[in-house]
Amino acid sequence: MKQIITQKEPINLDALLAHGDSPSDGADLVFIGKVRNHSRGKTVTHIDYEIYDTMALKELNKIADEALAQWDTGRILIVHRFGRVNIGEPSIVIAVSSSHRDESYRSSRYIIDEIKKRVPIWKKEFYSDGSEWIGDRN
Amino acid sequence: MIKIRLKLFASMKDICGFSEKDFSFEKPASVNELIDELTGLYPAVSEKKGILLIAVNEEYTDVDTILKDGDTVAIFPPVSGG
Repeated sequence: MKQIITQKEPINLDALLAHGDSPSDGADLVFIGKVRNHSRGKTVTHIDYEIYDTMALKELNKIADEALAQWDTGRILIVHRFGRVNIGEPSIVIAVSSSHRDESYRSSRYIIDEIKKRVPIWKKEFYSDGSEWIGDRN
Repeated sequence: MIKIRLKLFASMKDICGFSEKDFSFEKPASVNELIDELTGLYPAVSEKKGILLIAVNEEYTDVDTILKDGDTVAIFPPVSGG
């Protein structure tokens, strides 16, 4: 089962994880990426995520399909927020379930690494004294 | 004549001051020619040239791609989601 969501609203983790798991899966691995209050020596107040939504959904689906083709997993759930995300709030959740833990760890790692390379979403960090787009420093 | 829709994101949107605009070309043009035209209008685009990513109709491609009438071209800096 594959579920891909992009949303502006805060992520309700309990509600998302309540459905879609399988009794055959013994491992349910949840990665939560959160907005932290510091970046390269600066104090971060919040992050604004911009998204090319239709293309981002396509790329997220491709990544999930690639992961499903490589590892024997049950559920893959990916949720990415856009718009303003405050300190401590999840910006991304990746949940992967499988019979045994190894497949979930490998799949989850692949998914987050590919998201950071390919999915058209950009973060703008806001500081106490200004703001900066993050992708441009690459 | 071909007409394409250009979408800009993140710092490219800030530099050019729009997120979406139509462009027309007398004959088929490459993404590179589109970027050259954009750079003529907004010189600060040249600072980003080496890092830009290109998508045509929501699929990644490169600057040599020849554009067709009705294409949607997205130009943006490296992604930074997660």
